[in-house]
Amino acid sequence: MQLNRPEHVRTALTAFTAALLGTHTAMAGDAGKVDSSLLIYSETNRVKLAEGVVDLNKQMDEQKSYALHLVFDALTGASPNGATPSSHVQTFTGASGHAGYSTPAGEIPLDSSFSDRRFAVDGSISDQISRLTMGSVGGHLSWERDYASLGINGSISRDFNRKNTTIGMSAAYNHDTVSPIGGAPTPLASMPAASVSVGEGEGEGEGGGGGGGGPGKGKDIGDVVVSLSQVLTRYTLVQMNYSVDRESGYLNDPYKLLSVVQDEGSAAPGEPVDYLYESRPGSRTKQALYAELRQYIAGTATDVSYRYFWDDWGIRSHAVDLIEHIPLPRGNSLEPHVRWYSQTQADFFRTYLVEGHQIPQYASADARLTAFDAWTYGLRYSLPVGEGNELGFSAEYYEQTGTRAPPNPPGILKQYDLFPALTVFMLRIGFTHAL
Amino acid sequence: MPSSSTAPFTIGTRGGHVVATYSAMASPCEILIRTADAGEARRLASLAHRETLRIEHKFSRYRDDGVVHTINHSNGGPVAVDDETSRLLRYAGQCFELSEGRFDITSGVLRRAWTFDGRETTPDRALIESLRANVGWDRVEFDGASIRLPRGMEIDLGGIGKEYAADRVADLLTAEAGHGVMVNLGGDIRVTADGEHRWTIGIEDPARDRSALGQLDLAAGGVASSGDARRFCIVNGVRLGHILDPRTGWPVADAPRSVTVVADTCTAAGFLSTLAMLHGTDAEAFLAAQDVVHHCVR
Amino acid sequence: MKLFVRICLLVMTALAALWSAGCASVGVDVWERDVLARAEMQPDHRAIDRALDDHIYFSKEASSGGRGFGGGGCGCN
Repeated sequence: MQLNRPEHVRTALTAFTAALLGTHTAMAGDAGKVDSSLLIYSETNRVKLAEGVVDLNKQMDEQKSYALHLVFDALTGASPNGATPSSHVQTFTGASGHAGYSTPAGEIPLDSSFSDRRFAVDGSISDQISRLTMGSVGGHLSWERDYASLGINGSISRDFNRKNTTIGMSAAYNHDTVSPIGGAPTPLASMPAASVSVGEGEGEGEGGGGGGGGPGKGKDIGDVVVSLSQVLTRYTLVQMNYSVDRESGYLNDPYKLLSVVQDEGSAAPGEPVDYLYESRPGSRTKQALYAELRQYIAGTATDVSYRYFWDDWGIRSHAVDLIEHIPLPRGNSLEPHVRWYSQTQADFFRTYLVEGHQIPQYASADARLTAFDAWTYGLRYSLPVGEGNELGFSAEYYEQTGTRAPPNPPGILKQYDLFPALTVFMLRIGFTHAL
Repeated sequence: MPSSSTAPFTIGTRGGHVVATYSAMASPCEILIRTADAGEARRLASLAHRETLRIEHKFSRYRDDGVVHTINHSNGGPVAVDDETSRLLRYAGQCFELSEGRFDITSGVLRRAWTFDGRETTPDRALIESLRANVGWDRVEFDGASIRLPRGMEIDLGGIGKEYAADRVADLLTAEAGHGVMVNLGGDIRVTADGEHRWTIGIEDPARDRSALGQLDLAAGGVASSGDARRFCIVNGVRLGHILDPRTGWPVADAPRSVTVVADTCTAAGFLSTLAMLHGTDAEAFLAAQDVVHHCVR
Repeated sequence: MKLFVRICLLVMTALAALWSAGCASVGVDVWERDVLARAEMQPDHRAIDRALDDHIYFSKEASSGGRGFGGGGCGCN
């Protein structure tokens, strides 16, 4: 028998009797909620995107609940196509639907014909299989002009130690189909009819290049996640995940190129003589270890997480994410958010290829595969609206920086910033309604 | 437990309040209402009377039209329950966890091993052990919509029923009357706020019936008592009360003669007073830690 | 399928047994979950924002996953 019983017996008892006597209106969100958000995303001089999301979670009875997640986005703008700048105007044949596009001298070539709409739907059903075990199954569908995805997933979790420990396992399988506009190009083949308008070194010419239409290219993705969450104290919760993902099939980006540039000692070192479509391996295995801590101190809740990622393409990354929930009077709140990210370069990443050197089996100049650091800074302001509803506004800034260009590029490439920082501004409006 | 479906209620007055009395749940029941309108008084008294009987009949172990009887005779099969029963069962489960197993509505079967007539007795240990095999809320399957008791197990809502009824009747009358009332079901009391009025409640001396030990002065809240003044037995010269610890099958040693607790509701007060008794020698310390108005008599 | 589920539960119980050997006394009781029940302490707090973040980072960085699945689902790869 314990003498030092916690006073919280009284608090719990008050809640239990209130539920019994019906004097307690079910906590907002007990029956479910509808969460929605609108995101306006704008990269400086690049891609602009508007995305709307609706998330519905509904508790059907004591055991079962379902969730439905709908996404619609529309994007437009320009994205680097992987080629390097030149002192001359460059012209490209885009696989993305344009007859061709040009880049002024001295600028990073951007494929400006990006314009797409995406629609995705995810659904899942969860069931309390037994007092301590919960299972769920779900499906995923998404469509874009040149990409479709179909998937199923399932998970199971079990509680231990008076529900202080939860262990979960989830698995997912997705089959994606890439149908590039103009067909999937042959990897490392020359871009067709690419004329370098002035100067030496004519392109390898026609031929090769654009694959001719045909059925879309497939990609299979399987994921498994093992997670453990543990209550440490009345104010602290930790979670740890290990995830492994294997993808195989068509993993290239059909719209990305590499410039083949003249070597030092040539007539115009650093100027492009040809453009080749990129080539990535046909499989990729990714793994990640993730840990998250939630800590409540004097009214403020801190959420800090760390993820270490590694794969068989040579990429290693760290991501540290910190969000503070600061309550303000009358149910309002402020959430500042900071994230730091750092990744290494993929083994087959090449800023450019050099004429006369052996072409490697795999090569890509996609800026997303190079080494960089990124910072996110954001702030969200939330306020209650009516019974059980919340409105939120947030502004965020994302920036990728860090030297990525190889030392000593040939010729004129020395004078260009081959990877100008990517900067993004984001605004979000969110509305949560408790059912 | 005799039912009293045919006995009427009687109306009187006491110090500015109308008092309605009736008999239900094997106890004298009394409702105090501040009203000058006799018709209104009768209407409210009738509501109180009917609601008390409804709860008594629905959750009685003896009446075969009650849900508890159905559950106790389900022979291991699942029984679908309605919203009110579901809430009571869920509350019982929460109390089980909150009390770490001391408060257990499946512990009623243990009474078959004990006779609390005030006399010396030698308990049958083998019987107690075999009955303990049928005790334990954690063996019950309850998902909110239906309950499945393993064969041999029984539930008894006697430990929650009267306090629940006091709260239900009080809430019902308060909503109907538009002002506060006092409901006293055999010592399980709930008072609801009636303007500036403060209700006066006497605490009974367990040793001497009807004589007040003290008085409580409440604007709103619930009062419940646990005690073993009348029902006890003697084992090896030691006096043991009738409140059994479900975890051992034996009465709690050194429990106070009576415990009275004041809380926001009669149900909460009842839980705390029972749990205090189950702490035996530590009853006072337990109640002190809960920071509630209480009164212990040893 | 049922066998697969049984094996999963077995693996998880084994992990839990190992974990519990050290951590069985760590944690809180039923009546001490008041703070943990707060919305901002829930694992799914701001789930929609986290999902949007994950989608943005998936399309601008080479890594993915951690919180949940890291696989495909969109062409923004």
